Formats: sequence, C-alpha cells, structure tokens
Amino acid sequence: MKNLGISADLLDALLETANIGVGRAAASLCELTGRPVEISVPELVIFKIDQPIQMADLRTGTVLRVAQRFYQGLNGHALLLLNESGAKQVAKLILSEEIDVDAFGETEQSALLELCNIMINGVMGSIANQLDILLSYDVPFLDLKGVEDFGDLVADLLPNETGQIVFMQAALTISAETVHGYIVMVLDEVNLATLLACLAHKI
Amino acid sequence: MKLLIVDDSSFARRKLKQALLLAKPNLEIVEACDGEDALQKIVSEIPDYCITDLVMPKMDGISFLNEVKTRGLAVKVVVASADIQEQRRKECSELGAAGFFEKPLTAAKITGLLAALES
Repeated sequence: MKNLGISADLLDALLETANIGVGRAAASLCELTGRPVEISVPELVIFKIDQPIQMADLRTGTVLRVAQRFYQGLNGHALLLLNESGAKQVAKLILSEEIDVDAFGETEQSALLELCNIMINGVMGSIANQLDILLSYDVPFLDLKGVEDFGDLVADLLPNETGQIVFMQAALTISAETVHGYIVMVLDEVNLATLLACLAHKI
Repeated sequence: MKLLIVDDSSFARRKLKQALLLAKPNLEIVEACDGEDALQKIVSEIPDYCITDLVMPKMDGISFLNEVKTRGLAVKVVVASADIQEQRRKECSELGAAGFFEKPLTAAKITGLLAALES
C-alpha cells in the first residue's frame, strides 16, 4: 500500500474500527443464510481511477454490486460485491427455496438488496457509532456488472474529475459454498482526512 | 388488531409479515412501500400499529415519523431498520417511536417488537 502519511497507530485504529463493523456484517450474513461466514481483516488501499486493480476472487465474469451512498458526517459509497453464481446461491439460502439459476428475478433481487443493505449498514453504522458521527444514506441499488478490474465497479459512482480514491475492503466467503465477495467503503482523500480526524480525536 | 408494515423492500415486508403472523395469527396486516404510501394507508386503513423502515424512497422513515407526530395521528409506531446508529435511534425516539429494532429481525426481536407495540 502506498504510504498515506497515516501513523501506524492511526492506521491500526482505523482498520480495527472497520473490523468491528465488518464483524457485525458477517454476523448478519451468517444469521440470514444459516451458514458460517469468513471475513478477512479489512485493508486500506489507495486507488487511482485509471489504474487497473483486480480483486482476486472477482477476477473474471459478472459481479453483483449493491451500492449505497452515505453522506452528512462523511461522504462516500459503500459497496457489497459478490460473484454472480455466489449471489444466486446466497439468494437461494436466504429465500430457503429453489430459484431459477439462470435469472435474477424480482424476488431474488429484493432479497439480495435487503441482505446487502443490512450488511452495509452494519459496517457503516458501527463506524459511525465509534466515531460519534451521524450518517445518512440514499436508497441502495443493485446491478450486475461485467468487470475487468475494480475501476469498472466504481467509475460510474464518482465525479468525472476524481483522480484518486481510497477504499477499505474486506473479503468474505461462505463456507461450503462458492460465494466470494467484498465489502468496500469508497472515499475520496478529503473524506479520508475527515475520517482520520474523527478517529484521532477518539484515540 | 390491524398493523401497517412500511418498507420499500418487498422481501423485507414478506419476511416480516410471515414472522408476525407466526407469532400472532389473528393480526390483520396491511403494507406500504414508503412514508407517503404509509400516510395514505393510515387514513384509509386506520391501523392500530405501524412498523417502519427508515431508508426509503419518496418519504423516508424519519420524515414519516415526523409527519405522524405533527399531524397527531393515532397510530403507535416502532422502527425496524438496518441503520444501527445510536444517534438515529435517539432521533426516532424523540419523534415518538415506541421502539427501535435492528434488522435482521430474529424471532426474539419479533417478540420484543410486538411487546413494544402492545405495551
């Protein structure tokens, strides 16, 4: 990771703050699917919008993306990304019924949107609680995107002039299922600075 | 007893309806997909109780709670939301919500939610 000028203590506090939220999201996913869920420790990555970055488990094919903008105390986007076949398996698990494996119907989309909404709010709400800030959210949306690299998953969410963003990501897998995904928080540098200032005030 | 579920997610409405009817089979349940729809249903259906989500299109749950309070509507409202922020919970309480329950709603939370409505 490129040096962000963040002290080791502050970076540790930032990732631990995110980790608590990610743990909460994992618990919700586990509760709704009835399957053990593994989530990696979050990492912070600097990303130039024109620089390809691949996400190992989503390297090829179509990705289900749920995106939710947050604003007020902090401005950015939270994403939940799942491989297409994994998303269908998750829908099947939470609907407890067979679904058409070739299509995402309204029922499956509604179920996945609600699940991802719960997970994203678990992460962001936990961070907000720890930092004593208040976040407001737009209604989340879901789409399927063919991706070559991470830029394809965020380019349409960002202003044209955006050059560099920072994201915190945690990888997730569901045991015994081929479900791979990421929870991602996307911030520009100004909002990363805001986040770090809030955090520095707390530690 | 008539209860209004307000949530933009058809999946969330369906799951909540199933869980509520399992806990209380004689409930009469009506549904609304946002705050505006809910205000109309309160007038037309006259529910005793209401369970509302927060993040919704057209009119969100906070605005809905505010309208219920401002208009003095005789319906008891609890919030069921994925938004786990403590400040948001406090805001809902100040606007008159009788309870706040975090999604996902387990059977135990449904029991608590019904108790909050009926208390």
